[in-house]
Amino acid sequence: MRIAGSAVILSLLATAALVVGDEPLLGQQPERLQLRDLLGQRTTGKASATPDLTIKASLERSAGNPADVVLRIHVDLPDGYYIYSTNPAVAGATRLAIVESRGVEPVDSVFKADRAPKRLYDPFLEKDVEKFYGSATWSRTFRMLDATRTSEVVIQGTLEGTYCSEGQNGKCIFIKPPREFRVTLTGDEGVPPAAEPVFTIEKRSTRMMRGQERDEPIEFQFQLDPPNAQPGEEVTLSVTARPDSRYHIFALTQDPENSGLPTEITIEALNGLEAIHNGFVPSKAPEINETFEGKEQQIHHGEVTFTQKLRVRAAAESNGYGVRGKVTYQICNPISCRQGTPIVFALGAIDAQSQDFAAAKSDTDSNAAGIDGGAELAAVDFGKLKIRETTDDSSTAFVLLTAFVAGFILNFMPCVLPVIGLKIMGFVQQSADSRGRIFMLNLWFSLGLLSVFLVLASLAVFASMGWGAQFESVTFKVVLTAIVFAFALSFLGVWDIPIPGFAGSGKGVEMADQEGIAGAFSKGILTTVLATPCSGPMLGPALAWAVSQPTHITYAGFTCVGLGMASPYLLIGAFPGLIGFLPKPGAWMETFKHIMGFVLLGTVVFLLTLIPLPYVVPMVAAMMGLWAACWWIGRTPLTENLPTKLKAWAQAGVFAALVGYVSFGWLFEITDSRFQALVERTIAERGGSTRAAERNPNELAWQPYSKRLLERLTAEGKTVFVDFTADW
Amino acid sequence: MNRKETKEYVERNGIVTLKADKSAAAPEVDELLKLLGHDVRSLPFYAIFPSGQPNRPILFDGFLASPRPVIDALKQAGPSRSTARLAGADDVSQTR
Repeated sequence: MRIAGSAVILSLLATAALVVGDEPLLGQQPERLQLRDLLGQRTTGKASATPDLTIKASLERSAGNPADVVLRIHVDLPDGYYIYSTNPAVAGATRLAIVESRGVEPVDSVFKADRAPKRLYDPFLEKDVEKFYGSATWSRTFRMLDATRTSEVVIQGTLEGTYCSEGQNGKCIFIKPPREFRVTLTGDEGVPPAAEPVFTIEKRSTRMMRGQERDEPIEFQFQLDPPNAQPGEEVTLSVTARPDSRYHIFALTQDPENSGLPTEITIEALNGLEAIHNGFVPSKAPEINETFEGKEQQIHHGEVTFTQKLRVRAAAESNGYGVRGKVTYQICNPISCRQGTPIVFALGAIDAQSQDFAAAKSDTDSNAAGIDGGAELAAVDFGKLKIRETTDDSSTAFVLLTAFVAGFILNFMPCVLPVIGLKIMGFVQQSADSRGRIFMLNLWFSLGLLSVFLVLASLAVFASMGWGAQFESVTFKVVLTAIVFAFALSFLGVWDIPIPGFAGSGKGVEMADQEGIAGAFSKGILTTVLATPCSGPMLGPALAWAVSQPTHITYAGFTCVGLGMASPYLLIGAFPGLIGFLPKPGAWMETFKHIMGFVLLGTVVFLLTLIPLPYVVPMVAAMMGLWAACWWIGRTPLTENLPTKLKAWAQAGVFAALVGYVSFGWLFEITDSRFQALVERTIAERGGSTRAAERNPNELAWQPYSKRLLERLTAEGKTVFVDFTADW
Repeated sequence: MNRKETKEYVERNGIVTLKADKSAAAPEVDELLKLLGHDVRSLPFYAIFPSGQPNRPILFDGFLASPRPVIDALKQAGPSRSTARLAGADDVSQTR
């Protein structure tokens, strides 16, 4: 005994020596982390099994009103555990949802707990939380629909949430996947008459859309054939999917990584049958469709049948045979995809219900539905399946109309008005022209306008840029402000823009016949570009919608905005008589133009408010430089020869660039440092209560976990501490 | 967890702290939990990968009311290799 003990001590010493001997080898290549070979070794606590909770659901007639039924969900928690209330203040709150209800409609809008939860401050979440200890019961009242038989009432739902224990080794357990419950109304009418087993069912499920029940664009047929096979013989379970024309589903073998979820057929229960081979086989090979992102989808258009062979077992002789299952699928049209309402089927002799919670069985395993050979309820009725919407195709027309109206309103934005004013003057001159020419010019103006919207649509599609996204960029804002300012100067007669149709304005030169097609087109572009700063609040919702839409809808949306904006010009183009309402050309036009110049200066002020503060003073300085440059260009008469004009332009350009460089280089340094100093002083004056200072000073330098980071850090020989956590 | 003692110990020993957040679906985190033989639904949970022996992680769970269990487990794991030489023998002798 003693010898054995000494041996143990000796070997321990040897081990210790080895460990110590490890010490000088610090420089050597550290052991590589092999995630695959990880084997847990706990220091504190034991490898604890997760204690499970029990859920019981019941449905009973209301004591007060015989037309009402009360659904009760009772949760029994493991010892020492609590569950959060349904108050969504914490992420782990209990969530009860009704997935399907037949023959009844809810009276209460929410589930009510039978008692008030304990409200406690949680030091980990740093807020008050509501908890139920030991057990919790929630109830909700439903009213039976007219002419509903007791046996037809079914309510099915799910419970999600988190339950936790307290104290030193406390932990939280997610209820994942959600626990399902299904209840039927038992009692007064006795057992429903046994129906003849059904071996073929055709079903189309429905979904709720804007409070209306609508058919899914796909029909399913389920068949178990033949219905009279003898023990040992084979039967075939066929699931036929018939998507409506234009729609498709994904193949069983679709890779969910490649944009699109595969169709899944799950056999939930078999009675008197056994599967011969695993998996369903499609009647035709999937079509391969490449998305514009280059992902390969496997899809089925038109009718496709998935079959699975089953063998009748010896025990089936007396009870018959049957199968119950579920199909989940994604249904797509060329525009968008949506998760279809899952469809449940029961064929032959099998209990149609997937679970029985009404009984006192405290069985919570969702797959533990017993196969009851006696029951022969086969017909499936998809009364009220309520599935949350993901897309809603009916609103497309409405949004396109909104886009059109928004486009029309854009004409009256202060940013656009000056250019429109110019356009009006164009109309005045047009009144002297031929009808055909008036129409041509307006058409080209509208095309110029539309082209900008199509460029924006392309940006939205290919660069995922929103309408306002371009305004995120300071450079864009600065350039745009400078352009608008330069136009204001032109309107005020400081210089002349060398765009056909704009030329000669300040000098009172006739501009009537000068507006060619190019002039009309470029004015269209200009008008639209100027509209952008004013468009945000008007177009935001419509364009945010457009960006999330499939490509051609995005283009349709942007085109509608463009058409809306162009509509007055197209109208005048088509009916030149409308110009008659405008005053005759004359000296007022020059005054009008100057006034519009000041409106543009107002727009510059608006744009300055969008520019980050430290950039404002440099921007103003750059605008002064621009002013001088424009003045220099304006000094050279349009009648000068080309080299003289080009020389003036080059001198002005160099000067403007120099001023811009000094403004945004040297001047910006000064304004920015002053701005930063001001910010810091303000923070200091307010007692330093910035977010950063409010944080726990002992907060560790947490980095988000990733597999690669862990592998890298361990390879570098770092000791790595990983905290697995969640915001409950 | 975010206590002064813990922070000091972690910084002195060059230990890197990672947060594996499961507030949103996090397949990589679930993968690691499974490899560590832990129920992916049960949190909080902690794993320390000791320097030089990353394949023998130290695991523990539970809400922590004091920094003691973390520091004890970190001592058992030892400091990061690169800082072990710099930090002196003081911490090393405690662990070995």
